[in-house]
Amino acid sequence: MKKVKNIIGWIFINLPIFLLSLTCIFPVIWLMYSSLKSQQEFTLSTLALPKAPNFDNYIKAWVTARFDTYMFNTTLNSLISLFMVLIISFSVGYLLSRYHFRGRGLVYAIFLSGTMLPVYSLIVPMFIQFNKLGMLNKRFTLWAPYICFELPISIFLVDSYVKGISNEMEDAAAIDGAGLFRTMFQVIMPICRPVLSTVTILTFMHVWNEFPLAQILVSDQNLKTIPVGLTYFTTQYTVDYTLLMAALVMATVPIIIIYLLFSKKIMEGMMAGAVKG
Amino acid sequence: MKRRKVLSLFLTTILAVSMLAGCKSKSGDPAASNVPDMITAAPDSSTTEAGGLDGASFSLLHFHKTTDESGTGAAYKTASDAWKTANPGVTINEEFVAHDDYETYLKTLMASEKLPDVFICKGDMLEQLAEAGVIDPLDDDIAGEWGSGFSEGALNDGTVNGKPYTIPFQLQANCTVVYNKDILTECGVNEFPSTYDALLDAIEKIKAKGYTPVALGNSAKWVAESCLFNTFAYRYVTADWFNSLKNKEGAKFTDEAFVQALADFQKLADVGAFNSDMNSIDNMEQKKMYYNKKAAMFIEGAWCVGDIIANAPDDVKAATEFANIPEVTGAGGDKDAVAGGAGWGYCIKSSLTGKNKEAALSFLKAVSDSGYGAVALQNGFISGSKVENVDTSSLDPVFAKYLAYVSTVKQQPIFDVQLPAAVSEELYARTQELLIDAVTPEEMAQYCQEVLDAQ
Amino acid sequence: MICHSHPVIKKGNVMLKKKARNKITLVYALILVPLLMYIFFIITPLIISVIYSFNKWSGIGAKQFTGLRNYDRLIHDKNFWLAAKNTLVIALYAVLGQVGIALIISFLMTNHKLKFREFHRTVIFFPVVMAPIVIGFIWKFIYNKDYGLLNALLKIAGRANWIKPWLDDPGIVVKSVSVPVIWQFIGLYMVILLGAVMSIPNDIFECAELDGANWGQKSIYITLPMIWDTLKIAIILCASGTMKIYDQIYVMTNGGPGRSSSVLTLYCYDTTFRIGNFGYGATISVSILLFGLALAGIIQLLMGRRKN
Repeated sequence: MKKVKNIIGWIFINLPIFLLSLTCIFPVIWLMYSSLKSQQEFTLSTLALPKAPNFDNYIKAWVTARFDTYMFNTTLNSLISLFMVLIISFSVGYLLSRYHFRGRGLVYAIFLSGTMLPVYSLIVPMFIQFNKLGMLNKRFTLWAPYICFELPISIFLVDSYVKGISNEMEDAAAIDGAGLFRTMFQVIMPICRPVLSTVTILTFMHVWNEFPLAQILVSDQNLKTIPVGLTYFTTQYTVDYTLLMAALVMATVPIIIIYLLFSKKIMEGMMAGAVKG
Repeated sequence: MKRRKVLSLFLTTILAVSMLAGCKSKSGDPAASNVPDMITAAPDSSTTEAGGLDGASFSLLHFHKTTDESGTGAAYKTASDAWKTANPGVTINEEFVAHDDYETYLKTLMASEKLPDVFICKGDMLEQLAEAGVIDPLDDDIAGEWGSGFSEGALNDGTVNGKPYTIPFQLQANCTVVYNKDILTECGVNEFPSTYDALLDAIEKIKAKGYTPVALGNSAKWVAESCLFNTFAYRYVTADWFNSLKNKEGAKFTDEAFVQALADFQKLADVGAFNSDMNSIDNMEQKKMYYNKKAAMFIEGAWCVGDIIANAPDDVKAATEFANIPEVTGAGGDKDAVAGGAGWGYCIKSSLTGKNKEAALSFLKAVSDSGYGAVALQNGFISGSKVENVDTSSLDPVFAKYLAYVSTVKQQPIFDVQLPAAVSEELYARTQELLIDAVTPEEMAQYCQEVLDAQ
Repeated sequence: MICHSHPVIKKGNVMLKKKARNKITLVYALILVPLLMYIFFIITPLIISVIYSFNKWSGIGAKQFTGLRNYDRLIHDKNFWLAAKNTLVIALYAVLGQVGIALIISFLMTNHKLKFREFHRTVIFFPVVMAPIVIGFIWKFIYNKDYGLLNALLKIAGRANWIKPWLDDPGIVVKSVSVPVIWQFIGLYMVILLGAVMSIPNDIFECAELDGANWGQKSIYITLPMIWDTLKIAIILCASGTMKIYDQIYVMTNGGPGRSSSVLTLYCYDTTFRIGNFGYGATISVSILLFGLALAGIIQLLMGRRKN
């Protein structure tokens, strides 16, 4: 009887989550193998595996859509935004978590309220503002907005995580005579690797995929990003779906790779505090 | 009207062969439109003294995808490259934005007063810019050979207060019924229905054989209204009625004739003319159904011809014919009427003057005049300019069939180009509901009239 | 004995010593600089947008100050209330789905019977990493009547009678459209909540086990209270973030059929960029902001501060 109960329990716990995971991984796989089909093959059957997988779509996408330029621009934007977000969100998140000063609630409220307006509401005022300041269409145009967009959630994540770190580390550091900076960056930051990995992935992928601002604030073809490049496929009424998918795979794979690299770090962090079964 | 794309990513051998054939054939026939001739002809007609424009510059914004192998993008590339080669002293700051994002970008530029010198525009926005004096009327500038070279009605969509403000580069019928005559014959319909009742009958027969009568992909909302209903409505109302409606001179959506048009259109949906998922698939899917021989016909605008040429299987292409929406006996409209027009067109900012403006005009002539018109035909679409003596044997056979059809129609104003955007949006949304019986014709007419009155 | 007087982790209340005056200035500076940058780049456009909402403006020419007229129009606008209702319903589904399922997964992760934890954790996050437009595009294919994955699976399972016009029926389109929205971000909240769960020290769980608590009881009486604050903020982020939903809906239905799946951001975008009414569009934006703030406020009230 106990054995049956155990098995039922085992299924109850494992099956639903397994199904969920399958549904999460299938679209990525589908996208990938569909991109190896020709348009005609795809038209015949959307689900079937490709009979003669080929990379034509990729070559075409790379050439037609100038992916090399866009890849460079997007990567640069993502890395710079990421770097700044990590530094700023860690500092602000840590300080907000540890120091309960007057106006702390207001700071939270300001960051939170900025997340509540859709980007399309901000585009016209932003464009006018940047135009007046002569900041449109430059290499650095998108950095500040991107950094600002990612700050609220990153700060929140750090704040939340730091809350769970005991004060012993800082007390020890204080005894050693460490100042604020040393405590923050040499003592606490290494402990925060897991949450900083999460921040890294989220920031990187948001900036990588960002479209409206990249489309509107930057008009120079040499500065455009991958999502904008993708529109050169998607807005055609005669969409070649498999070509589009190749482009999508090229746009998505880098993020997935970065994610897989960092997820190990997060796992390590979590395993360290994992409940023993 | 959204700009229609006649673009394909695969160069069809047919198109290539016909272009080559055009070069070699009938040397005695002046009409054999030779692509090489076109390229050399353009510089001659574009500017009298190329040197006179040296040092001029202007900025240009457009949505022509020059990497396409046919369609407006390709035609634009051919014509503009030729002009640029002939006018090396002129600098054009050219910017491309994909069509779907174009309007957003243009509105943002407008709001921050950062419009380029030359750009593509239509509709509401055009009227506002014209009335604010941001753009100039072009009647004087196009006077002469260029202006008279435009086809009849090409300038209508860009006319504000009687003056033309835009230069058209395409003239498209919004509606053509594309049908597979083999499937129709198989279902016992031996000729394309010429009346509404015959159409209803044909629908029954086609359904009985398991085909979808008319493939419809209306998820983007505009297809059913713009390509199907607009022309169907012209079986009941006339252009005069529409102009009266637009100018608030007495005609209303709630007029009996229009409501009847709505009702009869809804009836088509009710008897099962369309696939049941009509509002959740797009116009790519509707063509796919036709190419896969699951549907006997589909209805779209002139831009679909290029797609048929590029993507339809050969047997479907051979069996494809074009027709207009059938006549409705007893209704007040015209059986040959079709909603059509230029839609988008190039306009020039009034701040552009002198040599720069001359350069811009010269360039625009090259991408819109009769010379361009011939290039357009080779690329599978019809430009805004007249082309004399077209040699149809040099064109793709499917396109030739289409040309034969379109020469029989009379183009009328397109509702969603000439009405305020808010009214068009209402028409689109309500048409989706009309098709699934979520709204009655009377209600739809009333809602649309309310929105129109509020403008 | 020891277990019942287990020292609870001190929350971050640090006592300020006098010699830390300099520290305070430094702290303020480190927070102020990014805050100012944020205010300049985000809050300023936000405020300007609010100003637009009090004007009538078509993008050309001067703005006309109209006071509260846009708001009056908004209150009487049926399309607005339809979009607002749809958006709120989707936000509700999102909270229940995204955070709810993420919470359950977080609980499950503490259960020793769960296998392949790393695999699940990694894979469930995949959809978060993909652009919302891509998600909308994929699900449009899944819902397709003829060759979509969903109907294909239902037919294989012998449940063809469950097939519905997923995106065509105004009655169910909002639910259909909510599924991808929920599905995409489960992973995000899973990571957020897992972070909080994993920071609970083992000893507390061990104590409970010694006392005979099973997994369910541990989850509800220990895990849940200890992650309450994080949970609260996750729900706030989820609800107010879903108010902005746009890309998936745009790709799947564009608000249709008719307007049955229209959402506030779509309505705002169409009003501003299709119809060209910048003032009214800004009014709709402000309404999105107000809804978000209201939801945040309500959730804060309901979930308040929990003492351990």
